Amino acid sequence: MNTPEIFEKTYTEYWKKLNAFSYTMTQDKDLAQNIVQDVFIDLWERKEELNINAIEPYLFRAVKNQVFKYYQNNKFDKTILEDKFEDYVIDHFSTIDPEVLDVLYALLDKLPEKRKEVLLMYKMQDMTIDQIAEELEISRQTVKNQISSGLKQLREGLKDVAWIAPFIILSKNF
Amino acid sequence: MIKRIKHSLERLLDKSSRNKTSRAEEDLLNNFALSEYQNSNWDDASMGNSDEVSKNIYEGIQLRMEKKNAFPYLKYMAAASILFLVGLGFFYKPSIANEKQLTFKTSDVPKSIQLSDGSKIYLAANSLLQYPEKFLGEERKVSLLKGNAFFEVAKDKKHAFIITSGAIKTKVLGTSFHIQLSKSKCEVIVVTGKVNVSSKGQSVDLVPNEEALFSGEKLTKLAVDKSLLINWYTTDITLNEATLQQVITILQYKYGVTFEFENKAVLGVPVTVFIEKNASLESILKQINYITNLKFNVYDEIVKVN
Repeated sequence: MNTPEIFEKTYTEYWKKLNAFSYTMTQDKDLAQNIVQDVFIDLWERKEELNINAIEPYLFRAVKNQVFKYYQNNKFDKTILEDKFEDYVIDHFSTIDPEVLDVLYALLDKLPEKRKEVLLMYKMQDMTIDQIAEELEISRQTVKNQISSGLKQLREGLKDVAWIAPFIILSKNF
Repeated sequence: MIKRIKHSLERLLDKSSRNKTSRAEEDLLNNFALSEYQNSNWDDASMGNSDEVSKNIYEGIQLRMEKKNAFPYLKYMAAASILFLVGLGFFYKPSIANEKQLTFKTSDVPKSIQLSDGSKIYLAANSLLQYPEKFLGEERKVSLLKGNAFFEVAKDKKHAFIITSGAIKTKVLGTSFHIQLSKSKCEVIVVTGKVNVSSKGQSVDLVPNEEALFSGEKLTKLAVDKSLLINWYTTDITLNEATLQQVITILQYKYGVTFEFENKAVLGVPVTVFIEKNASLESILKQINYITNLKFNVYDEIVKVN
């Protein structure tokens, strides 16, 4: 990293993936390019201070932090990341530590019995629609409807996290 | 009660910024980002030609590299051919006409910025300003692309200061004034000094307490409501027994939000509020809620009141 040649090689090797990443997350071409530019400039300016073992994870982390910072400061359309996050959570449901998404599990609990059953089979046990229909003795269409309503309810839950919740808990203690 | 609708992603990131996330929560955020990184691909249609983009980005990086490490870079280049030296010349002597444009954007709090000539600009929340890193030409030019700003322009008789906001150009020599730009109109209000406002053939000169309003292709001069001249940009202000309408007007300027009232009768209610220079919108709404019991819900740039 200490000479312009090595720096340029690093840039050439990683810039494209980093830019594709920053663009995917923000859907803003200029912002995405600025982020990549700033990350490399920072890498160059701090090359004396930094002791980097693996460059790609370092660069990925730097871009990720910028993207999240701009998200928090409302510099691009927030719904882009939020939709992706919802998709990720729902697709990786079974791998996520339960204590993390207590909101999600609390919501699951609130679902009507049948809907909860279908959704858990679909997501946690990876059963196919046919298998679920057979197991519960209901039609394929019913299974599909239950899944889509259940997912919709979960998404709504992910979207709305009101601040007043802590207030409610506090007031209950009085 | 003040309620804001927040997404769970936002909640997690806020927690992370304050270092309050658990290991599992950090992992979730990181794995989410990693998954997006691994699956991202270049798309020419939306991202452009990758060779051009790469050049673009790298040129920006090089400009910063040569600023800090001039001599080592020169040494590296000296061994090269004459073509390279010409390229280096381009970096070393940017042409006078080529000012590097920067943008300054505010999100939900106002911020101030000082320009290379010493002029100071106070940008309200939700606003966007474009300005050059250094003023190099005969005229000093900036653009207000969105929102409201208060300008304190440094005196320089030789270089007129020109602000473009929407369809109008405001020209000043050294003065302080306020510009509000919205989708349907643009207003310029003079606090001290003298200003000329023009648009496509129409032109008016303004002195303190006068305003130019550009709306529907017409430029008119008006006398100004005093409340707009209060310097909320730079000082704390106390509004004593002001009507709610007057308070709302100032909040609209300061935070770039609009208010929607279920019951307009409340606008006449007198209130006393203290608006600190750096206060957040939420803290002021809390004050008003405490006095009046009105409920405020903030949705991005709209505040609903009932």
